[in-house]
Amino acid sequence: MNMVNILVNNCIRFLVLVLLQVLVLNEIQLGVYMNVYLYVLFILLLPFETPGWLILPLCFSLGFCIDISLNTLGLHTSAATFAAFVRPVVLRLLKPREGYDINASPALFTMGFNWFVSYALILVFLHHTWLFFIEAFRFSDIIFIFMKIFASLFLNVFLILLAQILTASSRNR
Amino acid sequence: MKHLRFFIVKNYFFLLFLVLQVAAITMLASSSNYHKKTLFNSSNAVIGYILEKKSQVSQFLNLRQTNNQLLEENARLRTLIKSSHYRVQNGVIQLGDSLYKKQFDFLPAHVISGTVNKRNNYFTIDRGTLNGVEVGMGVISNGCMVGFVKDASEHYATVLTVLHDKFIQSVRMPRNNEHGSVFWDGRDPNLLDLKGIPLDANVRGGDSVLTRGTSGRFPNDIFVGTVYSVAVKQGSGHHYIKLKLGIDLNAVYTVMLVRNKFADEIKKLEDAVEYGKHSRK
Repeated sequence: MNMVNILVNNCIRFLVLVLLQVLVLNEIQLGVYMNVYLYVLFILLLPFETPGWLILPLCFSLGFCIDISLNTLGLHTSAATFAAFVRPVVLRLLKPREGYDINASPALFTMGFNWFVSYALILVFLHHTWLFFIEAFRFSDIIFIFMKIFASLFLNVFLILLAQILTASSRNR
Repeated sequence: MKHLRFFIVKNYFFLLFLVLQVAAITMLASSSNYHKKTLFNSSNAVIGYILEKKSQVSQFLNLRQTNNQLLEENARLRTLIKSSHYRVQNGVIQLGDSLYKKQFDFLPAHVISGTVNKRNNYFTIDRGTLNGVEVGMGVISNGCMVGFVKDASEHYATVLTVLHDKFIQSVRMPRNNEHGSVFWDGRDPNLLDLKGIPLDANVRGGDSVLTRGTSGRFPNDIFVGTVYSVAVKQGSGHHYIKLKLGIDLNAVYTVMLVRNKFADEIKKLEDAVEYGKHSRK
């Protein structure tokens, strides 16, 4: 895929995920523990070679869009920026022996099931930990917060996998 | 200078992260201050428009429930009006009664978006300053307390619900006439905490709890909830009471805003007190 293609794809993904989150997923209330935040998928799927000066402002604006609709100004902005910051570290941690294919993006069908699940679990866990601790702003409810983190983590990773499978074109398979 | 430039170039990723993170946390800190009007929230014209369009679609899905709620409320109100009372004393002529002066107006609105599963939960409603919404107005639904208006644009407003860190309301228990305050601990969206009821007060499960009307935000005796569980916390002179919220906030589709006609008067008095405090110093 060439540069323009990648750019267009990611722009569309940004818009679709923000609209999906604002119009549909924010309405889904599955109890206090499970919060649906599928927008993290955008951060996961950015190409390997996304430069640092781009990924941070991108995720900052992603979080900002979510925040405006939820009246939590700054909360998702902060968490998404944090996720963007730790993403290179996670990628380095999970690097296969032969390195990454520069032209690929870290998706389910290019990197394989095991790699993608561990990548998603780690990054979404870091994002949720940051998010829920800042949301609560205190350490007294630590058990409750961790239950929230893990319930949302498994739900969202499941949804991320589902989204990947549903949107995969036959070419990727 | 050369070293500094080298340092910035080398660590720009971390530095950029720091700058953006500080910006985000600053936004978070200033938006949780609920006296401050914020521009970027769901009462913003663009976001409000999108949410309203969305709710126009989803409204159809809960029409039945909304109708039932309205039916219930209508029945309740009908029992209160004059025509449903039998007149016991005939022949007494009533002239304009100056003992009563109307204090509260109610303004209907639709909830176009809202959450209950976050730490701090808001509703967005489809009425704004053009319809007479003011920041600080109390919000009720089906006769139960819901929250108050935090921000209002021309056409939309955001409501800070009971399920919010910053919400606190003074309440009373009609059975024993004790009063305390309710707030939410951030866990179960059906249960509130009630503090300030002394241990010698007689509290039973199922006792109703009503607003006290001290802040002028709500009228007297708006339903808040019923006592769910009572416990004694060691070392404090107070009951540790959990309230079951009188309304399922996840199923609120229509609300009423409370306009206190005496609000200006109350505010003037309070300001005078404030002013007195400062001038004495």
